[in-house]
Amino acid sequence: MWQDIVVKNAEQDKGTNVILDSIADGVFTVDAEWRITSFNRAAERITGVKRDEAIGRSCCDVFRASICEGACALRQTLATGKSVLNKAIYIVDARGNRIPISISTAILRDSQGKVIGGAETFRDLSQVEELRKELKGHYTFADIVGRSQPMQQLFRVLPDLAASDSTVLIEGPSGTGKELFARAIHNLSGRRRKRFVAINCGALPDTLLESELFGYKAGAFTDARKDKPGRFAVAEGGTVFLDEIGDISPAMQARLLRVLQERVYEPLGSVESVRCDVRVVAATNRNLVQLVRKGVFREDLFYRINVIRLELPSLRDRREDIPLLVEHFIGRFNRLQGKDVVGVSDEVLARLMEHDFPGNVRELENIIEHAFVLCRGGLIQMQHLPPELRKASTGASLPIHSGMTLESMERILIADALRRHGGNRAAAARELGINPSTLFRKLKSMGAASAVTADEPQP
Amino acid sequence: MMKVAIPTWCGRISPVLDTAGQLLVVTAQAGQEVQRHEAALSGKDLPDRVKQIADLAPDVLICGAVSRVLEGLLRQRGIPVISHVCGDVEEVIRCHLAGEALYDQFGRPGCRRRHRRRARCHGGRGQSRWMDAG
Repeated sequence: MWQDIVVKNAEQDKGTNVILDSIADGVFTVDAEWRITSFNRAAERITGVKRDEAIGRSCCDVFRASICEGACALRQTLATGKSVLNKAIYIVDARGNRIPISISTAILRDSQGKVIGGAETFRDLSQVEELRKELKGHYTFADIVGRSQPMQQLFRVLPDLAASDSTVLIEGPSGTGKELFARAIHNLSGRRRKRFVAINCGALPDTLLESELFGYKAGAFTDARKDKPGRFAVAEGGTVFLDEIGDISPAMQARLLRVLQERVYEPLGSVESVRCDVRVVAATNRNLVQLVRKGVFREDLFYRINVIRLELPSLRDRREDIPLLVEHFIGRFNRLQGKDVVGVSDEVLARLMEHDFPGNVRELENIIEHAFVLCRGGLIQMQHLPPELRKASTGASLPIHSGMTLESMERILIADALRRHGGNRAAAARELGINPSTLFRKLKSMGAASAVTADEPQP
Repeated sequence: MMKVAIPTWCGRISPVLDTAGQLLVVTAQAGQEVQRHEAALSGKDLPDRVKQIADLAPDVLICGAVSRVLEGLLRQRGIPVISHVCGDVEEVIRCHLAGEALYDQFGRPGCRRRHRRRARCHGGRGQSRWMDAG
């Protein structure tokens, strides 16, 4: 139980600061005017605010917590004299990340017992939150990472698309995050307070899929002793996500068509139709147009689900997102595994930038997870990558062929190195084994210096 | 005419836009305030909050801390956001209408260095990461 903290004099105060800096939880104290009077090292780390910037400032300007305005725990403690213990809230850091924390509070008194302010301790719950998400599979917007043009385009249309309530078809290769987008659509829609229910249509045989989707009545088949609601009933008012819709049988396609057309279905063994109010988001990694042409997929169902179509890009079509995704996964695995990996070496990043990623973002995630097993801390190096990635680049994907002049080949190699390093000349020169000034001279002679400079990322 | 929206709390800029309860909307012409009114922000989740703010049709929103998702959603609705500003609301309005840079005087601790190199008002571009909007 927290006791009121008594400060006797300045020297003792200094000693207290030393102690506070040695503990892992964030701690700050405020005076009667809500100005911060002490701010320990952990508080600096969690909030991203330096002590010298925090001291003397209003605590809400520094802390930026979800409860500052409506339910300040310190204010409550000072008003009632009762400590708050382990209250779960979030703060917003300078990058706009919501950081989940738990806080505890206490009154601060001077040697005469007079109240001179309050103290608050807080603990970063990001790791706990990450584990919770891992266990429950509750990944949402936070896990869609992308700064590239194709992703920005998708982000731009998502809010309007989510608000429309129409059926959505998400197409994209395996591992591009179709379910994440489906969840994002649900979370932004008017149905967000109801359930999001996902089902992989390709993973279940027809009869099982039918009972899973529509439920069954008692006695419908052997062992059906009592009624079981289907996914459509569970998601009533919400969203059903039908993954791998391109893999369902013609019979199942007919049943789904009826649901989409008439908004009614019959549970197995039932003679009565059930009306449903569910938004359907379907996804596939197959080309439905081709399946329709081949007669494998019903044309009328295709047009029913193809009301709004989202096409997710493969990772090789948005290579500029790779460094961001690498950073994201390293942060995630650090939290999950309690490690302190700071990043990847330039060599590893270059290797990842030139890899084709047939498995898309999921493959990149697996590569980083593999590296985490072998890397204890610091930078992920080439030897931490899976064996197939450790092999040196062959340059096979580059358009170099016999009969080319040396100058042409040099131009291609330089352009490729610059592209993979996002226009960073120093890194490109390092990889090419030449001095940056040599590279600049070569670029100048090619007449490309200004173009390359213009492409460089802005600070 | 220009409409500036600012979430307020006790005469100061509200610490976190995601949980702010009140929005002050100031209409100005040629740098002079001509009208102001307050609106309650009662939206319990981010899409509701975005709709409430968008319905007020501000030309710019000046706020304190804001989650990346909310900032991204506002920009997609065409509302430029000047985030991580703190201090007295009246002083911030005066400075903004006078065309003065806000971050040097009113930048939040921990954000000033980050924002110093950025433009005063950075609308348009979407966000790189998204969070739970629920």
